[in-house]
Amino acid sequence: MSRTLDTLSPREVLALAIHVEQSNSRRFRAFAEVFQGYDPDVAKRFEELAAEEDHHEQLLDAQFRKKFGGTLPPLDQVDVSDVVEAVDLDDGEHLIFDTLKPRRVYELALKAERGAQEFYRKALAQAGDPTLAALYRELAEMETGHASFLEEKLRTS
Amino acid sequence: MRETMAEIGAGLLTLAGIIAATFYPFVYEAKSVEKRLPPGAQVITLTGVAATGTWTEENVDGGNYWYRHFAPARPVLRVGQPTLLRLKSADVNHSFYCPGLAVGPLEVHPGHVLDVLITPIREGVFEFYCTTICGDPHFGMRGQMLVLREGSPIPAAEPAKADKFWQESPPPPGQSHVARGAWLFHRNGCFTCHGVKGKGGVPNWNYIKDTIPPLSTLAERMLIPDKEGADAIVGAMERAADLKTLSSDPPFARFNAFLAQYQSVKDVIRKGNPPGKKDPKGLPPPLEMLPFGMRLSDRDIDDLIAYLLTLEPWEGGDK
Amino acid sequence: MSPSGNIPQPLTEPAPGSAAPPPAPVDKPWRIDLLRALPPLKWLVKRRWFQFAVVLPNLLFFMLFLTTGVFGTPVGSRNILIVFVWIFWWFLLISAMVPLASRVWCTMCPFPFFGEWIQRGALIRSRGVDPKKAKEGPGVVVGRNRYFGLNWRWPKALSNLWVQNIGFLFLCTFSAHFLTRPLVSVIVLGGLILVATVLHLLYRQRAFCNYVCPVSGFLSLYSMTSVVEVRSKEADTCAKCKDKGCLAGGEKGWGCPWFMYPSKMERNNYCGLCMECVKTCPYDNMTVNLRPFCSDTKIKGLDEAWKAFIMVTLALVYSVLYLGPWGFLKDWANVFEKGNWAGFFAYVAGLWVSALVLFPAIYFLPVWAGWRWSRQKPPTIVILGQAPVNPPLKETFLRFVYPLVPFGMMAWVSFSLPLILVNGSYIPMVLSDPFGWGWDLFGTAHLAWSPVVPHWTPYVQVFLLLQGLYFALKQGYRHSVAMYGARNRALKAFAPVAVLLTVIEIAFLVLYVG
Repeated sequence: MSRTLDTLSPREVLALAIHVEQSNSRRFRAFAEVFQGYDPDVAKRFEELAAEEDHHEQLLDAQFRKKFGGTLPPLDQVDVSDVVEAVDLDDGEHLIFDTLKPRRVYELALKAERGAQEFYRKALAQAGDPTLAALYRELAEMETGHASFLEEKLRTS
Repeated sequence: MRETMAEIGAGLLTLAGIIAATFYPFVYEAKSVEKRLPPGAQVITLTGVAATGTWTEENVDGGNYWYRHFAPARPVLRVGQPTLLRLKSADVNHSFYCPGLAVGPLEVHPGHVLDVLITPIREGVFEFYCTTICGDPHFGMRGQMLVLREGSPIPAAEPAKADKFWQESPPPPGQSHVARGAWLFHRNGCFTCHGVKGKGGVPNWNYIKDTIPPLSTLAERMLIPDKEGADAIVGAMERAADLKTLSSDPPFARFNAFLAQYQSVKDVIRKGNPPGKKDPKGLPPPLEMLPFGMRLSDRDIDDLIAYLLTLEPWEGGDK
Repeated sequence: MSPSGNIPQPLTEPAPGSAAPPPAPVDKPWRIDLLRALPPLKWLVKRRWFQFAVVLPNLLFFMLFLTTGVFGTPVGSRNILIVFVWIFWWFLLISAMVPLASRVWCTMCPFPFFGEWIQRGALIRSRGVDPKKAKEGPGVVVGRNRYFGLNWRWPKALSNLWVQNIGFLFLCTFSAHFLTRPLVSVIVLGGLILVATVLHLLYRQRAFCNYVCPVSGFLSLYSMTSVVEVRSKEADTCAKCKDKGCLAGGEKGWGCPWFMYPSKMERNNYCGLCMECVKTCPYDNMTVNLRPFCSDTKIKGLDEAWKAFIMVTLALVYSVLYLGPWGFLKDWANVFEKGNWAGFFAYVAGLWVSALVLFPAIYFLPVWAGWRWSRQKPPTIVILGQAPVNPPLKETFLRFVYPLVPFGMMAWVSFSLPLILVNGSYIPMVLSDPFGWGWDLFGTAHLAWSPVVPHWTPYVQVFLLLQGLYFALKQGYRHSVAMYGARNRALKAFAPVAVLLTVIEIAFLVLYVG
């Protein structure tokens, strides 16, 4: 039975955010593996972004330890009905017709980060608990930071 | 482990299946023919090929039909030995007729096989024919079955005759009527019955004259007395002159009788001529002068006759 | 448009009832999850041996056919190769498999069998591998599967349908020869197996199927109409999925051999229904749906558009050739029988120019005319993010080519119907005697050839053709509404194309029943 976001405690919200970064990293790696040997440029971008997600995860993990301590509650993104941040290819036929350009990888990631930012902002507006609200604000700001990182990448690539 | 076994099983199944699908049909075919054979029997397969007007003993299949030239059949049978004749057609409807051995006429449909079991009782050379008009070279679709006593040697085949092979050729260049007649004579397969250069001699079962008479003596039979006369006529035809205009100064005696003969020869070509039977109660002879009026124009027929008139070996020449 | 002709309608006072433009037609597509509805089917397609079990019998028949082609009778109508492949299979493909089961032929196709066997090193199992250990072991690792062979990427310049377009046109140019010569069929079909095998060794996965196979091209185009599709069930589940097994493969199955990303699949075009994604999805989120006819409506590129042009042109040319009263054209096409090379070149030039240049040009004209006619002056202030007032010409063209898909498919079905009726009686004959060697396996070898063309045939043909036109006009109009919004502009833009489609339809009708 999947849970809705408003039933989560602050501890669980942060754990979810960690899971989100984790799954994004794995997703990026999965894409990198598929494109490896096929389109190395695209694969490199995916690998690079996976590392970036790992970094985000570490930051959040440190925060979790500082705030709550102990181990993460067993909460997977799949257990929560809402999609927070999910990078995905936008076309089922990318690989057939070579339509996925390296630059497009950043755009897809950026889209996901913006989605997450939007998601946390909405959650912030609805959150009654001040600790929770503070956490959402923090997360939204962090996603803004990620987004600007990608925007910078897009500008320079 | 189980996975590996499944892979090996699937691989073996595939290979066995492919081998079976590729080779089993041949085994099945050999067995099914064998089943129908009496002890000591032989199998002779004759396949009709319309494109060259040939009954052949060679194997004709989807792979070789398009490029090979199949040798005409010369089957050898033995007195008292049962023989399974397997009659096939590689293209169109043919009819197999071997009157001397009392086989046929049998319709042979393309893609079907007609099995006939015969046991010859006397020696001899027996002509066989195709009796369904199957194409231009149809009348050349003949052959001889040799029936020999057990153990007697097979005589060497006669040197291959040029008339066994029929091929389409382009019309000759230039305006010569005689050359065009020669081409038409070949193109329409006339030579398949009348012989190369109209020498005749092709056997026709139950025909009153036994063999098809030569056309090389047509000039004589059209009452042209000599070479000069023939040359005059051919010359006039090469000029495309109306032969009737020669009447005012006829090149030879009985010129008007010649003109009448000329008309009747043209009529025979145009309307055909059924062959007379030797035995009036017997079956009609397999070879028959067909009406060519539908395929040949008036000019074509004139050209053909002009060509035939040049074939006469006048006195002194070899026949 | 008013029925009274060109009398302009007053702009100030709209007629009652026509005040607001009717809402654009909204697609409320229904889907039936077949794997949920039919548990045995689900059980079957989830088996690893499923595809092998479907391909193997097909492959063995195919091998038998190749043998008959070489060693059987040269008489086409009595050789099972000709009768089954070019009469029976073609009919089944165009009028049953594609409309009812999309590219199900690709599920059972024997062409890539050997290539795929070598490439996977497996007939049944999947070679899953941890990508971190990719270097340990033979072959190449793509995603989470190990493959043998070189696994090159397909050249970018050929990553489209043009090879297939040209190949199909080439084969169709010589169609008269396949139908009469078993040897030619053996060379073509055997050649396809050979090419498929070699390409599987050189290029990754099903590059042959995606870019080369001439049959694949028209299957891909017409599978858009099919009532069956493989799709993901829940978009959210895919979005949250970390593993992307459908794409990367794994222990349970191979990553999509067609280079599709099944989770985001929106069209049938390049899905070979191999059912690997149904097996690899960790959330059981891939399924087979039943859906309305003509559900995929997007033509994505000019290569696909040209495929549609080629198919309609061929349907027309074949109809003229085999059903029209002009016997000399048939002689031209059949050069090896008739030897008329000049005529043959005229036929080839005519066919290729019409398919590749003439028909596309003729089709472009009304598209352009409608596009011009419905043009509006763009506003001086452009609002960012809003669709432009006038859609680009290329988009309009691609959208308006789509009607040719149902239209052409129905024309093909309609054309093939009398062919199967006339030649259908050969099927039991060759089944009993596949080689024409005088067998009689099922007692049907000596049935007479009986061309059954019931009196209702033309009615069915007309019905099929009109169905094609109906779907063409409906979908074309929908595309127009999607681009222009307003009904009268949409009508204006689409009207010239609709007129052309109707004219072509009448040509077909005259050829088939006139």
